[in-house]
This record gives sequence, C-alpha cells and structure tokens, in this order.
Amino acid sequence: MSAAPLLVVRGLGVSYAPARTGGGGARSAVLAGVDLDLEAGGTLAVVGESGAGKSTLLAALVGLLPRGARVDAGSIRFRGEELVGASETTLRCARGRAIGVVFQDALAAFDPVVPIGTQVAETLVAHGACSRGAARERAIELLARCRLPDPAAAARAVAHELSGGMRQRALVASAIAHGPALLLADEPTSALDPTLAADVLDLLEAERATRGTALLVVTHDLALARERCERVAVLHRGRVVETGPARAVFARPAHPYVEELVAARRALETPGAGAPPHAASPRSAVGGCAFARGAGSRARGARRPCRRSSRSRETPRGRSRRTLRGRSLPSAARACRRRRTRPTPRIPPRAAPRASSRAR
Amino acid sequence: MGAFLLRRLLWMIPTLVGITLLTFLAVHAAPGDLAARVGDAESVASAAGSSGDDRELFRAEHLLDAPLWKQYLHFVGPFDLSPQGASAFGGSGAHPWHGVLALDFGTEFQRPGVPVLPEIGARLAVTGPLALLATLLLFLVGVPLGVASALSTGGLVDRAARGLLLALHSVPGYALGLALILLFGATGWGLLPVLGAHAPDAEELSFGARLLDRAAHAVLPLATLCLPGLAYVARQTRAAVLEVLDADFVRAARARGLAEKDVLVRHVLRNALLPIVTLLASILPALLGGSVIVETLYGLPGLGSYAYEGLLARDLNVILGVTTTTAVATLAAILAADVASAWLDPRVRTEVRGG
Repeated sequence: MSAAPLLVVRGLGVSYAPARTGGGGARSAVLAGVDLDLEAGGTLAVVGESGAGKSTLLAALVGLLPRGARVDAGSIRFRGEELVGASETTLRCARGRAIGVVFQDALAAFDPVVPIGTQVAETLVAHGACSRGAARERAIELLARCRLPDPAAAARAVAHELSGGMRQRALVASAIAHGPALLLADEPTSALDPTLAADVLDLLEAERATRGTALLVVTHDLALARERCERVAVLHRGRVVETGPARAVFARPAHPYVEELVAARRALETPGAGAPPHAASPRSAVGGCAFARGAGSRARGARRPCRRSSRSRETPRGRSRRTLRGRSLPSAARACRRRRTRPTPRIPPRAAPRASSRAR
Repeated sequence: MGAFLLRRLLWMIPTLVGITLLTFLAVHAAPGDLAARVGDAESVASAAGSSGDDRELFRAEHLLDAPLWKQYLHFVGPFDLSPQGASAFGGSGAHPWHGVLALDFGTEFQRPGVPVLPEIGARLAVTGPLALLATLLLFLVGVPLGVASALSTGGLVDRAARGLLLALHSVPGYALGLALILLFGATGWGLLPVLGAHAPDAEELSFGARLLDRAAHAVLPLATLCLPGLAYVARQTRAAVLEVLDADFVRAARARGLAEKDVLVRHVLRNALLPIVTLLASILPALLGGSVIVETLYGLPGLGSYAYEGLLARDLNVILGVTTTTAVATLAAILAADVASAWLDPRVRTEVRGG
C-alpha cells in the first residue's frame, strides 16, 4: 500500500451525446486521453478554464456523469480496483465511504427540505456504519469537527437557514463522514469570500494531515493550486497539457497554454498591464493539441493541429514532469522553444486566493 | 403561523367581495328582466294572466327595483333591507336578518319560498363526495403514473403513458362523457347505469346492494371528471420529478453513496411532490366547475346542475349562492394547500415566519 498510488487515471475519454435527441450529430468529446496520478495522502489540483472538462473529470471519477455522458476510453484505478465499467454496487460502496465529494455550491448540494444533520447521518447509515439514532449523534460530532458553531442547531437546520461558510463546512462534514481515502473537491471555495475560503481549505488540509486523506481539488484558482497543492494538472479543452509539481509548473511553464494562463494572471495583478494576449475558445471538442489549433496558433502562425505526444522530463526537484506539446508540427514546436527562451514569468509569492477567479 | 393564517383569512374578504360583486354585476348587466319568468310555474295553474301583480310583489320582495348598491348590501347582509326586513332600515321587522353574513342566500326565484342555502347543502352532498373522490383518484393514479413516466424517460412506459394521456387530455369532457355513455350505457355494452345518483328503487335495496348501486352510478361520472385531469396531474408530476432528478442535491446524495431507492424516496419524491400539493388547490375548483357538464350529462342533482338550472332561469339568488359557495371552497382549498406546503417545505416556512 505504501508506494502504490491511490488513484491512477490512464487515457480517460468522456463524451457527451448531441444536445438534442433525434437531431443526429456526433457525440462531442469532453475529455480525451487524460492521465492523472495521485498517491495516498497527496494533493493534486486540476486547473483549467471554464469548459475545460474539470467537473466532468470529477464526475467521471465517482461514476456520476450526467445523463448523455459516458466514458469512451481509458481506465480509472482506485486502490488497484478498476472503476470504469464497475458495477453500480461497487461504485456506490466507494462513493461516500472511500471517496468523499465536496461540491461547489453547498446550497444546491443539500436537499432544501431535509435537515443538514439528517443528510450527514444518511451517509453513515447508507454504508451501514451505524444505526439511525447513533448516526444522528455522529453527524453532530462531524459538524463540530468541521468547526460549525452550535453543531446541534446546525444539524436541525435546513440548507438555506445556514450561512454560506457554514453550509460549505457542513458539506465537508458529509464528505469526510467515513474518513475517506480520497476527497474530491469541485471548486470548494469559489462561492466563498477569501477568509471563509481559507477556513474551508484549512479544514480539508487538517483532514489530510490527521487521517492521510488524499485530496483532488478541481479549481480555476491558480493561487489555490499553487499554495495548497503539491502537484497540479493543467486541463485545456479536455486534455492534460501539463502536469508536475505545482510550484515548478507555475514558475516555469513548459506548455504555451500554461504560459498564457500564468501571464494572464500576472496581467490581472499588475494594474495597467493590459489584457492578456489572447484566450483560446474552450467551447469546441477536443482533438489534437487544441491549443495549437486555437487562437494561440494564430499568434504563432501554425496551420495544422499538432499531434499529441507526452514527454517526461526531470525537473530540478527530481520529480517527473510531463508536458503535452507539438512534436510533429515544426512551427508549433519551434514556437514553444522560442517562447521558452524568454524570461520566465513569475507568480507573486502571496496573492489573494481568489485573484485569478476575477478573470471570469 | 397564527399571524400568517389570520392575514390569509383577512385577505379572503376582499377576494370574496370581488368575486360576488362581479357575479352580481354580470347578472344585472345581462339584458332582460330578472322577474320576467316569475309566475311561469304557477301560470300553468292560474292561466288567467295574473302575472302582472305577482311580478310587482316579487320585485318588491327581492328589491329588484332598488338601487344596485342596496341590492348588493341586501345580498351581503347581515340585515334584511326588504319591506319585510329589519325595522332599523324601514322594514316591518318580520325578517331582520338576511344575506351571506347571516348565512341566508334568500329564496329561489324559480320555486318561490324554497330557501337557497339548504338546497345548496343538499346538492353539495352529491357533488362534494364526487369531487373529493375524483381528486383522490387523480392523485393516486396520476402521481405514480407521472413518476413512472419520469423514471423511464424515453422508455416504453414513458412513451405509452404520455401517448395515452395526451389523447385523453385532448378530448373535451362532454365528448368523453358522451362516448362513455354510448359505450358503457344501454346503447353499448350495457355495463353501467348512466343516469342519476342511484337506482329509482334504491330505498328498497339492502345496505350492501345500495352501496353497490351507488358505486356503479358513480363510475362513469368519476371517469369523466378524472380522465382529462389525469393527463394534467401526470404531466406535472413527470416534469417535477425530471427537474428534481437533475438537481445538484440528487447528485450529491448519490455521491454520498445512498442507494438509488433512498435517493428517490427521500430526496427526489419529497421535493417533486411539493408543487403537486399546490396543484391540488387548483384541481378542486376545476372539478367543481367541471361538474356542471358531468352532472348535466349524467342527470345528477349536484351543485353544478343547480348552477346550470339557476343560470337558465336567471335566478339571481341561486347564481350568487352557488358562486359564493364555490368561491369559499376554492379559497379554502388554496389556503389549505398553502398551509400544507408551509408545513412540508422549510423554505416556505421561513417566508411565513418572516412575515
């Protein structure tokens, strides 16, 4: 168990059915060839712009893809067990017990008419951890553990009666009820102000420290990814374009898209620096190196999509770092090399956690 | 909650005034003489054209020559403003009380001396159980149908149910009623009685046989009342369930590892049925209204046919009496639905408490 990775995703592809049934049309791919690794107790941030497929990835991990979406290819191995194509029973046993999910919008993630405490207790009962009565007690303990003031009252309240920060903490409480080995968090803080966001992140961090829970955070907040996570995977149009240690990736991005992201962030933080050079449209399906085809390619004069290839290289920290970039497309590759010779963009060391979200 | 109820009850007063005033003015605005048909019934017996005097008497008794405001106040009560009415208003003092507030809707125009309110009570005894049973059936059949349809979206059950319901929904009530009579009555398979609330010799039957007889007489009216509405309830339920199925909290419940059955019962149905409770409030008045057609078709002496008779005879007191009764029933149903949804939905409860 020691060195074995907790979660291994290989070549994951997810596609959605055409928007309207009967209208024909091809399925649109949302994720293609996604590789991710997360070891026990590790932290991984999946960053990317809206529509990059972050939330779809998270849904695919727990087998809760929306109607019309399906996994086309690849594998998801959790503790050595294949989750793609696993029975509903297997998935259900993993969900809530071994894998906890913290959703983005806590108000929407709680049933509006059922008390919070009941919903937290439900999780315990569903996996046969304890009886209904004991679960109620345990739910209050969990709420207290997540630092809700007056947990007994919070357990009796329904979602809209709590404040945003309290709701988000209650959501964490429901996710950690069984002490899961893996916590998935979908934009856990983007609905909160910076102070509350830090609180919730501390809560997740504490859970990791005390119980060795691995954390996978989906976010568009680069500062969060950099400050709070060991590793980062940058998702662009359904592909992981760069993955590696968070600080290294942001300090010296290897892929032009990541470079753009970092530059855009820097531009936001420097008043009067002007708009970022361009932003690639995220709405089209994946295929080839999406970035090379998008607005980025226009900037560099590329005409054909580059063929995808992954490359590992050793970073100064000695960790494997992989970059997705054009190898068979000379112009794009040249562009990549050319840009790498430029001075490395720097991220200011301290930044407000939500700074990058203002880009939306 | 008490303050909420009181406020809602007080709001019913202007609503009722509005409804009765509109009905009152509408009847008066219609061309023709309200007293025109007076004496028709008797004139068969005393054919000697005595109706002139009768009409004068009748007009005086029902204040038909008085200004409209006085007539309306007479209707609202609680004082009788007619010549035989309260002495404080210049009457003889023989009948001091009259009007809605005194629980007296006056007497019928068509059958002099017959008070309207007890007649409404007798008619409600026929219509009320029919409407309640129909509501019950609508929900007992329509809601499960809608849920099943939603859970098998695009599947066989869904398509079959939707097709059938669409067909039923497209048939107007009177046509459906006639079709049922033709099919099940003596002209068709002769399976069910099609006229009246019970057999003419019902009094002589044993208790069990009488119950059976009643039930047999109720089948077709109930079907005619329910079937078109069934589509409505089922489609509303289907839409509500589908909407909730897509909600984030359902996904969250699944992510917590709940069994599909628990997700459906505890979260999906509970939330989807909230709007259905409110639907009840709009169904009941629709059934009372729909009973006009059904009762006329099947010859049932209910509230609907009473309203119909009253309209044909331009019987102001009957029209106003039935309208007021229906309005009160409707408002009561709406209030009951509001209280029920406040009880079931904490979000509404907060609004109620917050004022």
